[in-house]
Amino acid sequence: MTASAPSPRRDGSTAPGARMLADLLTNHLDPGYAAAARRRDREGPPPPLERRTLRTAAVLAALVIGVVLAIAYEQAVARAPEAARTRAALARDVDQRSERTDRLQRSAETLREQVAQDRADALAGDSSGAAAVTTLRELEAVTGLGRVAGPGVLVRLADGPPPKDPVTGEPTSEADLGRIQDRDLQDVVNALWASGAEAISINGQRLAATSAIRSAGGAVLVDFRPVGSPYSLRAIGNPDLLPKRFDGSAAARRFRGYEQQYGMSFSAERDDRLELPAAPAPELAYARPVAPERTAAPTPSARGGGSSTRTPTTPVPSATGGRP
Amino acid sequence: MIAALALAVGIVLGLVLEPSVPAPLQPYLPIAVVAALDAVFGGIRARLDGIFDDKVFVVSFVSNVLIAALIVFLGDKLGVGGQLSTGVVVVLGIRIFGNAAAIRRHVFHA
Repeated sequence: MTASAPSPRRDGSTAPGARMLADLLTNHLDPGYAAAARRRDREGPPPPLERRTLRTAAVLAALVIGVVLAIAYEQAVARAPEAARTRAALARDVDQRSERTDRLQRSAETLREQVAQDRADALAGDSSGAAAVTTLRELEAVTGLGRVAGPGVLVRLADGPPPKDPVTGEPTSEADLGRIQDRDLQDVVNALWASGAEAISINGQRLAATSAIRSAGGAVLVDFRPVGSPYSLRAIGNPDLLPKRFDGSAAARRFRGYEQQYGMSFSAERDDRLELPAAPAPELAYARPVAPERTAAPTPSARGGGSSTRTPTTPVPSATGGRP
Repeated sequence: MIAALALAVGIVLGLVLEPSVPAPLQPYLPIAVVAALDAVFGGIRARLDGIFDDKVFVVSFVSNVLIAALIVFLGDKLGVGGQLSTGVVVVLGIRIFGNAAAIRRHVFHA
């Protein structure tokens, strides 16, 4: 690479690139060695002093090469655990954050409870106040923003065993068909609503009107909070009808098939004492409640503003909410 | 012979002292390793051919490392560092294999 010794052979190949490639593939040894040997033959060995200096330099170079190889080895060894360390640190971070959100959510829940209590205390004085509190409680229960209790059905779902290599018994990387997806949970929840459920929670997460069940990566998220197998869905409704209707729904039938096919576990049974927490309250940034006397008017017309976009005041039944 | 001993001493020193590489130089370490291996195999083969020369060994090692580092540095600046690194590894890798084959022929006569 260094000495510009004339190339020993100059064959007929024309393109310089081709010759370079041929050189690369045939002449592996630095041409400098051959040139130096020829020079030695011609001029005899160099004087002893120069020879000793050069020998020292070569020894130093070999020393440096050794150190470089050792450093590279150390780095390669150190890098593997580093990746594991980074992963562990990230996992720890995630754990800490989710613990924190859990704590905050719990504190929000207690605070909300306290607000409700204080409001009830403050309004308890006169009869109209008490009536307002009752209405509010009912509204909160309907919209999912208040805790509710009652009879209903408890549905339990769990992932099937992960696929195993039939030869080695090691877990394989092929698609995990026995895994419950967000769509499965959506199907079950929809079947529960359709069977007359009035309130539903998944693993202690209450579903409100704007709740979303979706997946991110391999995890199922309910309202952006991860839930995992085993899943327990609590649904409050008519204790005689709800379990039966749900049992006959398409989703339940399909899950019984999955039970056979993929080893998922599935059960739905009546439970007379279910208690569901409140869903986190969505913040209203733009929507403003409409004054009651206006909403009482049956025709949303006339009067100033020409606000044709005013919402109809009859409550939209949640049965049509989003999923036709 | 002394060079081989020095190589072994260097490896031991590196393993014992665990010198840390400054972060800006870290990307060049793999390239330096390949260039160093090329110099080592070239030196061994020359030695077996009976034409080993200290000066050529030192100069080829130093220039190999410098040129390889320069190519990678330029490639990084131009945004093609990965490709140029691959190029350097391919060229030096071919030479290493060729020299290793020559050494094998010398040692095993096969």
